[in-house]
Amino acid sequence: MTAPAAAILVEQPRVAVRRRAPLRTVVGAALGLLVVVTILLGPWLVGKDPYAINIDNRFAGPGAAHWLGTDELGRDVASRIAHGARSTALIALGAVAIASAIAIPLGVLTGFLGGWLDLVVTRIVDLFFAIPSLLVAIGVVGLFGASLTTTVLALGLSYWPFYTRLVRSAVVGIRSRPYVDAARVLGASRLRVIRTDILTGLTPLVLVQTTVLLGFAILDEAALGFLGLGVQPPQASWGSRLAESREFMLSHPELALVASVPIVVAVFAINLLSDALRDRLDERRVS
Amino acid sequence: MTGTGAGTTDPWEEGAMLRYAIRRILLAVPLLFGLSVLSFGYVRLIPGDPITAMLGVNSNPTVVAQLRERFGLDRPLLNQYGDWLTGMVRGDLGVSFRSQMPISTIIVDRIPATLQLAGAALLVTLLIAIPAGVAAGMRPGSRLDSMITSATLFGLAVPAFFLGSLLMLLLALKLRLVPSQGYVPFADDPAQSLRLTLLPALTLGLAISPYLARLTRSAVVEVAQEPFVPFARAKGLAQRKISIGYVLRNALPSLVAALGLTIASLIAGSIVVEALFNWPGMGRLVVGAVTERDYAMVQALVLIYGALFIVVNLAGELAQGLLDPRVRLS
Repeated sequence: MTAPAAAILVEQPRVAVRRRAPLRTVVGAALGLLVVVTILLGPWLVGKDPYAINIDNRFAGPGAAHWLGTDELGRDVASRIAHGARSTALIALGAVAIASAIAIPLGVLTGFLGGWLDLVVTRIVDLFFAIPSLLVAIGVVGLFGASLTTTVLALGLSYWPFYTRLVRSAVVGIRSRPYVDAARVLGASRLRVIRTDILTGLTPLVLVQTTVLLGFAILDEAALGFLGLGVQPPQASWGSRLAESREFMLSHPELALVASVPIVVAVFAINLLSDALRDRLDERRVS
Repeated sequence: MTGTGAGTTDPWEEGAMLRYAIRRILLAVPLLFGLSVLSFGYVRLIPGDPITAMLGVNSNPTVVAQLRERFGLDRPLLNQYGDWLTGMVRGDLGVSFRSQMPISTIIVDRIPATLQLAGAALLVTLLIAIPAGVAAGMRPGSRLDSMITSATLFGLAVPAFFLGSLLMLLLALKLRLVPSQGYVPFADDPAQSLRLTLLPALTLGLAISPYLARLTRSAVVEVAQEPFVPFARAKGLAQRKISIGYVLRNALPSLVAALGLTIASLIAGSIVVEALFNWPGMGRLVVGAVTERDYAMVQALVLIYGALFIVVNLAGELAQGLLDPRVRLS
């Protein structure tokens, strides 16, 4: 969703007494596995052409021939979701890669070096923070026109301000730790300190943040698709499937619901896993 | 924790609050200025020029030149920015590239619908998220906390359009309790207007509740760990009284800040919910403007949304200063 809102997934205070049943993690892992299998093997398992139109068989209910029924053009819904999973996964990974490629170097440099660069970048980040990230994404789509590539770019560009701010403040925290001072006293160069101490210290945050952002990217790809500004039909993606089903909202609402289920499952799995991952990495840091 | 209450000391005493307010407002001014540069620069970022982009590559060059002149796009950049800035201060946001109507008029028309939806949704969120967040945060690690935390993790995974379609299907199409779509201005028919608001507001309110519930929980957890809480318990105070009178009271400043952040989710959510329910607000205007490549309109809306967010957060910071002397004295 929006950038500041993303902070709440990572900034929950830790409670020392919390001993949580691993059930949530197990559920998350099981659902996550389901999603990964869908992405990797789904199209092969369903074995139908997601683009084959059959007007005589539109809006068919679920059955042996079509596991999840057919859509408004008689295309196999299960196949469209399985193929769409690949586009959506590609978009989410690409968006997180772009955001990381901007945010990690920028956050490390500004947090470590400080000075005028820090001041300028922080002001720019503050400025982008004032615009809800979905609106930034919509603005980028406005510049380049809606497509799969634009969606990747739009989402990547809408996440970097929040991510940069997070990395920067983590680096500021790591920089003041005694072992960083020790390394400097021992004569380690700045580059060496960044490579061995700062980046190592940053790894837990980056791991957690990558999973959190993947979840946001899936939701935002779907939101852009729903608004007609994401992947364009007939190309299959979870977002474009929503755009297609939206026209039949009142006559065939089940199409929109079926199209949303994989999104809910995937993001819920990611949320559970990132929560577990964060707890795990926090524990390790304490011990 | 003494002296946290606004009632015990006058926040305006000794000018601390005034100094704090002036400092905050002065920090917001460069942000607003930067926003104006950004939204101005946006249209100029368009590959080629905005008129050609809007009309297509094969458009008549004479028409393009005429329109460029009409919208002042042929003048030096600095002059264009000067006009844009002075116009903005006077409340003139330029002319829509598509309809050629004044943008301010179009946006002002849409504001009541968006405010009505956002206000009602905020009410729904407050009623759900604050009690849930307080209940979870008061006893971290408890079964109730675990349940509420799981629920918020699930809620964060449910997109607003899924929730909206589900509610529309159940409440409007199956049970026929409320109309499924549509909008009537409140002034024309208050009862019908509220009936139509119910479904979109419930959708948007439920969609952003997990965010606020999690933010509330963290604020409450932080305060509940303070030594005065076990002390109050040892003194025999009722749990209700501790929760509401002491913990919630002390968490209030952080909650106000959390609410400021929630506004961003509210804005993003409203764009989707307005599209789902055919709600004629600013969100539909944004999507329409991007689809039609009406860049003057997109530019104006980015500015308005950004300014709205900056002002809401400024108000949140000021309220925080009023509620918490530690904030205004720092």
